[in-house]
Amino acid sequence: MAIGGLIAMGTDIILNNIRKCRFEKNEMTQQELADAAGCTRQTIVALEAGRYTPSLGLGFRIARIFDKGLEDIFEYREP
Amino acid sequence: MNVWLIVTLSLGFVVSALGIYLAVRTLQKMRTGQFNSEGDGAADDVSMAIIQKRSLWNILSMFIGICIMTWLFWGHSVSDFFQNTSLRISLTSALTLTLLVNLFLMLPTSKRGSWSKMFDERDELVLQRAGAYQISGILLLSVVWTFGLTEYYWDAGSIPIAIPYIMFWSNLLMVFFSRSIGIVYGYWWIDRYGN
Repeated sequence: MAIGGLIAMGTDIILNNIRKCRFEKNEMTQQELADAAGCTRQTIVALEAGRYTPSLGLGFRIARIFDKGLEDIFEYREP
Repeated sequence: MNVWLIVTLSLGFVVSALGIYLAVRTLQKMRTGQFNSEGDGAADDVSMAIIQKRSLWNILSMFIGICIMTWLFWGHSVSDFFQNTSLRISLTSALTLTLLVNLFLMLPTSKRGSWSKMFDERDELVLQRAGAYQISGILLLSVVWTFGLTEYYWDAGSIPIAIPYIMFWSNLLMVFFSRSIGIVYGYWWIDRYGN
């Protein structure tokens, strides 16, 4: 699976493939995803760029929008 | 009140507003350029968060307000504050205007009503952290006042009665100023290092 954003929180590394999923879902825009997930577009941009680790709630909401499980979108890697 | 003083003050605010506008636009362009240089096509036209933008404007407007107050007070002694009505009115007007601008710009951070839609968890995180900057700002100002007053009025043995008023004003300004600095710095940090 192609992984996009890389989020390093402390020593934890959390990767996500939100951008890929967005394009697979009829080329959904960042704004559409933000509206559906209940966050701002800036947060989606930060997530895709690997500059923000979402809360569990936001993570689950994003996963549901793409009809996927949390671990299909986010991946935890040992540091 | 001197008409020329009012005209100068008004012109000062107009010129300052223009300067602030240009500064914010430049910073926004620099930020967009930063995203472009990283090849993140999806983030090409990403703008600052609303609170970030407003905080930046607030810092600049408060800075201008503080400069105007300093300019008005320049050359006067502390006792003039009560003896010179014109000076007191000018300073109080400048302070009130600065605080009103702050209120207008920073009301969305109160998270009330429709403004709550501007927020998400990332903004909340930045706002929570900004509180630490408020405390630090007030502590820093207290240290400056304490050491400054102690050293300056050591021989006199007492401080002028107007000083507590000025201390209160400066604390009031610092509470909002440091919060805005905390917000802008918080976004800068989170953009570069994540949360």
